[in-house]
Amino acid sequence: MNIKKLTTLALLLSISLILYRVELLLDFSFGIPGVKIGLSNIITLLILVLYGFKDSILVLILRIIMVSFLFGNLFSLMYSLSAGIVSLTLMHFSISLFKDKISIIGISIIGAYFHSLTQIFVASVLIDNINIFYYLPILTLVSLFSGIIIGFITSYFDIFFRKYLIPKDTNIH
Amino acid sequence: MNFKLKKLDILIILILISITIFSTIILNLSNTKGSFLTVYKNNSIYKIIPLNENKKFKIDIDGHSNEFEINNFVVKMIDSNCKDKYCLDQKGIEYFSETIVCLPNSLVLKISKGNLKDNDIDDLSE
Repeated sequence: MNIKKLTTLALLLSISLILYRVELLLDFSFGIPGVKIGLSNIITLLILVLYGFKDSILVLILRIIMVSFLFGNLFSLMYSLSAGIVSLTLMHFSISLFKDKISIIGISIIGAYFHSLTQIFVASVLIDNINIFYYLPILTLVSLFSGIIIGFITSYFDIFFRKYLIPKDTNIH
Repeated sequence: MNFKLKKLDILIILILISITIFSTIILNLSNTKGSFLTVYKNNSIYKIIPLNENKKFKIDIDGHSNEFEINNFVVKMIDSNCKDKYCLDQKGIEYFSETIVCLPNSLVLKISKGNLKDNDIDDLSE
């Protein structure tokens, strides 16, 4: 890992922390419990398409641990970590499986959907109540919209990063 | 990769929309009115309350306090000392197997049906 990449990743990590805080302040939940846009996923997805799986999971885990220490608790750490890792892994596999047939928006939707699915699953195991699946329809719809929004923003940043910040000879995907 | 939506993206969007529609239909088909409220505390049954009388209940265990009311067969959480207060935002429940969950206080309110005895056995075997 060269110094430029290290600095860029550290910068992106701090941006994702700020985005998390901004989202807490703005509150996009529209009165439905558990609904979020997931602004910090912009960074996770951006690192995934720019640098690949290893760097993005590193930044993701660091971000979740930091966020849980700053704003959350041990409970939220379990939720976020499991959902984050599952959705990131699936996004990675869908990139390597579909390659050019899918755009960042589609990948982002897949990530958002499996993120909420994992959280529902973990919640139903933790509180031992299968009826939490009643949230599934609304969460599917919400993850569709948030996935499109996050994917749109990320593809803009992707173009920007490739154009200005990352030199051509760097090993990017 | 660029801004343009590709075929696979549209396919994914359509799949998610159809999942939303179908799961909504399936969940709505199974809606029947319940006759009891089962209160779960720390994953075990704490209390079973009939829905036919309008009353307020307060549950206070280990410093976790929740207050809910039964009004015309509809159960609504009215007060809680938990941190996030999500349970207060949740809609009133009246149909079978609808729930109000207060995660920080590990309290679950669930509508159940049948008479009290059947209900006991059902819930214990779950």
